[in-house]
Amino acid sequence: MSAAPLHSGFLTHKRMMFAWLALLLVLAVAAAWYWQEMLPPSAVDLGFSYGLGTLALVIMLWLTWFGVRKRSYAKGAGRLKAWLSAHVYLGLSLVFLVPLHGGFTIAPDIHGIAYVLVLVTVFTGLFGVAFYGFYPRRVTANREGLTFDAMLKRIAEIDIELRGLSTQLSEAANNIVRREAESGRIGGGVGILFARPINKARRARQALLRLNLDSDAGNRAAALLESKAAVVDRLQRDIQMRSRLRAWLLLHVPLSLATLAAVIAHAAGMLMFGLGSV
Amino acid sequence: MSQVQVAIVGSGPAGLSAGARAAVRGLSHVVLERTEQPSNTIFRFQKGKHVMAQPAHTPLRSEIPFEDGRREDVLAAWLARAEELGVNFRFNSEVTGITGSRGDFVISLADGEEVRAETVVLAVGLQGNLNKLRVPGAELPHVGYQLDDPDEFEHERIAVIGGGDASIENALALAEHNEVTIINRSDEFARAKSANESAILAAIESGRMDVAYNANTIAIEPDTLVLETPEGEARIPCERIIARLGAAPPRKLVEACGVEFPTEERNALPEVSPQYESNVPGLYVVGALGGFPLIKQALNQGYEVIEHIVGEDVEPADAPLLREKISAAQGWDVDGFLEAVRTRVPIFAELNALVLRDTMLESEVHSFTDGEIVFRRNDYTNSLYVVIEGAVRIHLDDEMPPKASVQLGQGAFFGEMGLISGRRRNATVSAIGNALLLEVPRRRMITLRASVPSVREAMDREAVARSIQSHLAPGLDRDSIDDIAAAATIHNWSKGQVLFSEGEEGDSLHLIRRGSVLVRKKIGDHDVVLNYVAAGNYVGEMALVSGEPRNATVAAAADCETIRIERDDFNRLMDRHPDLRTEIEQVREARAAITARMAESPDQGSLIEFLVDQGGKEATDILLIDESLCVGCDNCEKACAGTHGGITRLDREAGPTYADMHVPTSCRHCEHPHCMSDCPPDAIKRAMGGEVYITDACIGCGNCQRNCPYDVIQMANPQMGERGWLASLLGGMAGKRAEVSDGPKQAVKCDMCLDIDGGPACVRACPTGAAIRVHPSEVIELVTGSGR
Ligand SMILES: Cc1cc2nc3c(=O)[nH]c(=O)nc-3n(C[C@H](O)[C@H](O)[C@H](O)COP(=O)(O)OP(=O)(O)OC[C@H]3O[C@@H](n4cnc5c(N)ncnc54)[C@H](O)[C@@H]3O)c2cc1C
Ligand code: HEM
Ligand code: HEM
Ligand code: SF4
Ligand code: SF4
Repeated sequence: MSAAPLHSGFLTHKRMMFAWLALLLVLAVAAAWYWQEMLPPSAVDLGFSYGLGTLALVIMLWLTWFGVRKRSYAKGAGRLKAWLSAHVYLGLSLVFLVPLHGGFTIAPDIHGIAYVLVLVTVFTGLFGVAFYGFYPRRVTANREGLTFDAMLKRIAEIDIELRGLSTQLSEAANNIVRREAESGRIGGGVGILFARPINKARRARQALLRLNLDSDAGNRAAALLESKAAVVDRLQRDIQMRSRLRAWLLLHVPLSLATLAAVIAHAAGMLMFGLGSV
Repeated sequence: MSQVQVAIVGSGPAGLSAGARAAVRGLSHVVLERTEQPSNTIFRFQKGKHVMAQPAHTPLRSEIPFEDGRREDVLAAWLARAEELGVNFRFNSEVTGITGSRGDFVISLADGEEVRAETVVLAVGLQGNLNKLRVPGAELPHVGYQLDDPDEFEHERIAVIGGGDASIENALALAEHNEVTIINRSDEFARAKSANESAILAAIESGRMDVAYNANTIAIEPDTLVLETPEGEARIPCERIIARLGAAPPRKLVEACGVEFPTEERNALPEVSPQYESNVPGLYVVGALGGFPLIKQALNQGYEVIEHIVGEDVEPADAPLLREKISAAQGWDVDGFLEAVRTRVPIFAELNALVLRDTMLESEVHSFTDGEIVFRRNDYTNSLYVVIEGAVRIHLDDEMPPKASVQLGQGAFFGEMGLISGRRRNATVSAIGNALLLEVPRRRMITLRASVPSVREAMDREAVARSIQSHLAPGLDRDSIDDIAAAATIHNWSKGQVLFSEGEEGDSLHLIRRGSVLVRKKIGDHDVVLNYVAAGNYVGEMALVSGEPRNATVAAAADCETIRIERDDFNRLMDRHPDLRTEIEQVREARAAITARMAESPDQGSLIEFLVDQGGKEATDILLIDESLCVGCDNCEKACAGTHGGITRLDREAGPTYADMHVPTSCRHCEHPHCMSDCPPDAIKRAMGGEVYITDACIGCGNCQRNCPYDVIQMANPQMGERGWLASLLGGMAGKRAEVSDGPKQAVKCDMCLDIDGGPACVRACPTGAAIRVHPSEVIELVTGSGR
């Protein structure tokens, strides 16, 4: 097809226009760097460093501004998708621009801290992009058309029915069933980012089966626990994936602010006292 | 009872106002009311509902006071006033029929009694009579036909009878605290809105509710409901039965009184004289039943009808409005203008004086100077214009000098295509010299087409010829089209109906003038969707040209109207207009290409079918979310809330998904918006760009919410205050779908960010590009195109 596609994601926005622009910027800066390296050392002053540092700072400020732009709903030029596209590719260009500016030196001082922070922020950004590419389809597939609330509701319904069975169960069985039906927790917390918690409904079902019940109520309870376990699995996967889709931002945003602070400190130091004074 | 001078049937605002005026005039009268209190329609409004006095500029003339206020206060004021004037009510008196004539009417009541009257005023409104069960035991006290407050009942076994939206909603609400069985006469809940259908199926699936399918009620006993089912007789124990069987339209009753309706159409109105008298002398019709859907109008008419009955010649309360309207046309007075409309405009020639007057009240008078544009091609307006004086030029395309331009003179109408198709204007119209035009709004034209056969016939005769001219033979003059147009026929198809099937002989072509169709073909064992064709295009040309049998099946995707042209006529048209042959060849090639592509990947066909079904068939703009890109950040909802008083009009998560395409709960901006059809103050409008939006005239009745098949309208207080980005950054909360809030509730829905630069905020705020808005014509491109 020759016409621009009707619909594309932020990475491919406008046939990756911003990737090309970022590349162009990087090439231009590289050329300038090469040109000034060619000059006799006497002619080199800090002009290039100042210039490139300022460029990096401007880019940083603009990248941070994204957080504000994201929330200016009424005004705001163009689509946020275009902004994110530019955000990602310009952000990536820092990986090249900053070392060039710093002369590939790194030391455990404020300059080095700024340098490392930029890289870490960019790195978290990359994580975000990877998550954004990986999870959305899986979240949808996992839900099979159910909404989050519908899954919770389903669990609540199963719990009601389980509680209803309690009078018909033996005391031991009843203990297991009631504890499960009344726990009301499916497991969450920060841990779920890394591993899914134990599925208690499934454990309760196994405990119930170990009692070797052979009553209608017992079978029904086991079947209900089975379907509850399936919903809980699904919910846990859902929560895990959706948490991952968000959690990286909790690193990305504070890091970007810390970076900005460090860079400003560095630049201020440079402007006021010159190299080596901080 | 001895004979009264006036019997008033119904004590809504119209009947009450008539009763009050009759009392003041000292007429002997009786107000017959079916229920046990006056104004049942208003009485049944939601508790605390804010009743609004629309239209704001119409003056009130009634013995009954009325201004904006809570339902309770409005009713209390009415009652107090009625009592003060000595209005004579007779409650629990359902009228079942009226016989006789002026001077001697006999009114029969449901309880078998009769009332005699010299004149009768029918003011029964539009709510109709609730259908009741006709089985032994139906009169038992635990059987109800409506449900005001589901929380009234707890821990009861309740059977809800009916498979429609009302019964589903009642059953779901009751199931919160009761054991509910829903009794459905058929084997599915297909009649209900899809949201209700899935909710009830989920409730049944999870065991929160029992169901009996294919069940007919045969008897009711004090604590048992007896059903006839395919498995034999079933007995359902229950302490309460709620039967929601719908309402018989009041039309039946009105016809039983001898009043005639001009057409069979659902929204046809009884014909009445300027004095509100029907074809039965001495029998008058006022209020919502007569086509005046607002309280203030009903109150005014109740007053006026009594004046007419005593022979007083009153000028209607809104006469000054009419005078002001017509003053826009310099040099005209009201009577002269009305006369000019009747004598000059053939489509309105047979309107009676009252209807003509109301048409004028709702219409606008415009005068244009030479060259001034009336509307442009691609505008989304859908009113109809008639030329009172002067002439206009229709430019069918934008080429300069216009290749096809037509001139219309005094008495002609234009703009009917947008009205009929619900789509963009397909021509630009400008004035020639000074032109005086009357713009009649869409709703009024729909009522006129439904109620006055002559309007429909005269319009269609002309509209068919114009459709053929503009879609098939632009440039051909009208003389060479008229005979073909006269032979063409108009066909209506309801959703799903087949226009023609694969393998049939191709004997005709269909020009779609309203709705859209899906083209399918059997490939192997599969029924593959090959194409989607919308209004303004034709189908069936291939077989006509090739002479071979139909190579695909075409069925209506939404309710459709097509103009059918027979083969011989079509051949004659091609002979007269050779360009048509070339164009058909081009269309054929383009379609063959799409067909080939679609046949290769039947999945795409299924996706098209899904999108068409989810609103594509009638949408002008539909919000889609590409689930392969959506990260669930809800920035779309936050943007919507942030730009619309804190209430998001879209629910991203809700709605169906197919092959990664999610259709969230959000307005489709339908070609023929269902929401518009019963809006009493006509508060729902369509803007130039196609946006369907709700104005401040909304009285919060909720009809639109019920009528929208996609469940996108909420009732809320729209003035909740907006939040800036800082506040939302700090608060971090998503705008939720409207919660219960204080203050008068109005309908809120997506307005496609009509007043916001840059267009819909949801799409602009989506960081990943998952949210997109498409016009249905782009669906094929979206599905088959690259970029995904
Ligand atoms: C939810 C809702 C909200 C609304 N909000 C507003 C608003 O805020 N402002 C506004 O201006 N309009 C509003 N409307 C419109 C308003 O209700 C109508 O315009 C008005 O009620 C019409 O008055 P009416 O007298 O013609 O008929 P109705 O008010 O319908 O009165 C008809 C009366 O006749 C009785 N009746 C019917 N059949 C028989 C029979 N066979 N025998 C004896 N009696 C019979 C009925 O019981 C009823 O009492 C609203 C409508 C609805 C549905
Ligand atoms: C993203 C922003 C920036 C980062 C991450 C950064 C980082 C660094 C690093 C790591 C060095 C090397 C320090 C060393 O040699 O020990 C450096 C040098 C320097 N920086 Fe920056 N800097 C940034 C922006 C700025 C700005 C805004 C300015 C001034 C306006 C600036 C001025 C300088 C100067 C003058 C030097 C010395 C260069 C040289 O000796 O060649 N920097 N910077
Ligand atoms: C130093 C450089 C960067 C800074 C200062 C920065 C800063 C920010 C800020 C402030 C936000 C707004 C988050 C919010 O308010 O929700 C953001 C979002 C984001 N950034 Fe960065 N960023 C940088 C680099 C990158 C890079 C290199 C990438 C990708 C490779 C990236 C990817 C993203 C993504 C995907 C988002 C989330 C968009 C969303 O879902 O709203 N960022 N960034
Ligand atoms: S509110 Fe509903 S009926 Fe009205 S235009 Fe939108 S989708 Fe169509
Ligand atoms: S917009 Fe909806 S709620 Fe408001 S008056 Fe019209 S139909 Fe009723």
